[in-house]
Amino acid sequence: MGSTSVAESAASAMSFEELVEKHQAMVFSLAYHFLHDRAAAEEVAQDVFLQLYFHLEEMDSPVHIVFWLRKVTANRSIDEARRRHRRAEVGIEAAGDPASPAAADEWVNLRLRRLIASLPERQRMIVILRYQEDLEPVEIAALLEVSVNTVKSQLQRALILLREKAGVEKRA
Amino acid sequence: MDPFEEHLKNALRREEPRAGFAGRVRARITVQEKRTRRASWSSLPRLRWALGILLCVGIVAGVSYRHDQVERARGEAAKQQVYVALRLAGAKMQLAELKVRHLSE
Amino acid sequence: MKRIYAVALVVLTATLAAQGQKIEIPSSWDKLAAKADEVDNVTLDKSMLGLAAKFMKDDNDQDSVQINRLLGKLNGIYVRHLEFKNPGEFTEADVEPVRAQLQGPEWSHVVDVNNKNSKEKVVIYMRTVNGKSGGLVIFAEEPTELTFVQLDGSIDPQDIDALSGNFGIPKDVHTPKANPEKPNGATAEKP
Repeated sequence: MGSTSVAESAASAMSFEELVEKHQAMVFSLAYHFLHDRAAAEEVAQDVFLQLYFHLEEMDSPVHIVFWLRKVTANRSIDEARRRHRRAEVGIEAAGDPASPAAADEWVNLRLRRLIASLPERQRMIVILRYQEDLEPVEIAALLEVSVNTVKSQLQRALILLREKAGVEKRA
Repeated sequence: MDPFEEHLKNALRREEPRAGFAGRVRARITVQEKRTRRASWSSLPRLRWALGILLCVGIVAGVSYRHDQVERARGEAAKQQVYVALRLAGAKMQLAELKVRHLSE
Repeated sequence: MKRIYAVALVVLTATLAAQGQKIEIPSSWDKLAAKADEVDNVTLDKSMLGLAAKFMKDDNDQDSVQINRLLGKLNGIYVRHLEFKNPGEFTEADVEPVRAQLQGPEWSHVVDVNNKNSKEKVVIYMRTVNGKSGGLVIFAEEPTELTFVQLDGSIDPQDIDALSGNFGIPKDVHTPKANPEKPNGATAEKP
């Protein structure tokens, strides 16, 4: 992964685009699952890559880039949510009967995503980092700059809350 | 992982942004670079002179850059700490205010 | 000679007023922190506040502008916040040393709320030196939370109140947070 400067060559420019294409799903999904808003998530994701472009020389390795992207996306998403005072409402609207098993899965996913988006910010980001990115508590703690104990307890509380809310909805 | 966690993993699988995302990022970079260049061109003679100095003191510039990185990290961390502090302060003040309202009702 | 002493005293008093008075947190809180589920520690002196303000200027939104104005008034921000899984993790012996430091003539209670039913106590202290505001301490004791916030500098409660609608805290939050073991739909956001 070569470093780039403002007066970069076409070859360097292409490699940054490849970097974007490689990591765009991760960055976009972190923001989207947190904000539950595609437009807001795209804006955050663009901002993150714009920032990466101008900080590329600080990156030591591909691993560092991934860590940096996750950290900055997490922070930007949290800032964006606070700016908008956004907390997704959990709708218990009737979503209609799924027509097929695949549709049923998608229906479950949609409801779970809405439940996740209604969690308090820190719990929400911890859940997303755990289950979207498959990170261990110690990695999440380093990324969010909190203690491992905090991550574990917040994760536990979030799962209790999600199970309960998902269970209540099923009975309804 | 238990079945519920598997459901969570499934619900949180990565998704691609709208097609052309990389192109949109590139477009924003171009706009930002133009803005930077415009600022540079307006003081071109001084810029040439400053660049000459920078070339001569390349090692010092590198050290200074590293210092800026450290300062940026410290500054961002301090900023986050300010947010934590003010959020807690606001929350506990609200709690007190609610209690006062409740007692006066 | 007497005039020199008088001038020196005035200068010293003014200097002391301008300087902060940081409340010391007892070492027993470190042991409490080890038991806590969530710990927030903030120690920002004037230089760190200046650094934070510098990076907040980049954000350019209304909140950051307001915060920057506030930071300009402060000498320091000190926070200790502990959240526990169960009630009863801290005792009077843990909180009394902090309260004792806030009994001096410079400190006065502006809000003192003690709800014996819910066992929640919130006290807000103001520091006044030579008629001028010298800072604010918010000390909240809840069944599973202990919070100490000191904003050292020329600040008044209106400065904080103006910010209470930001950072995800709605201006009219209705209830204290629910017990995390029994969540309900009205759970307030955790910091």
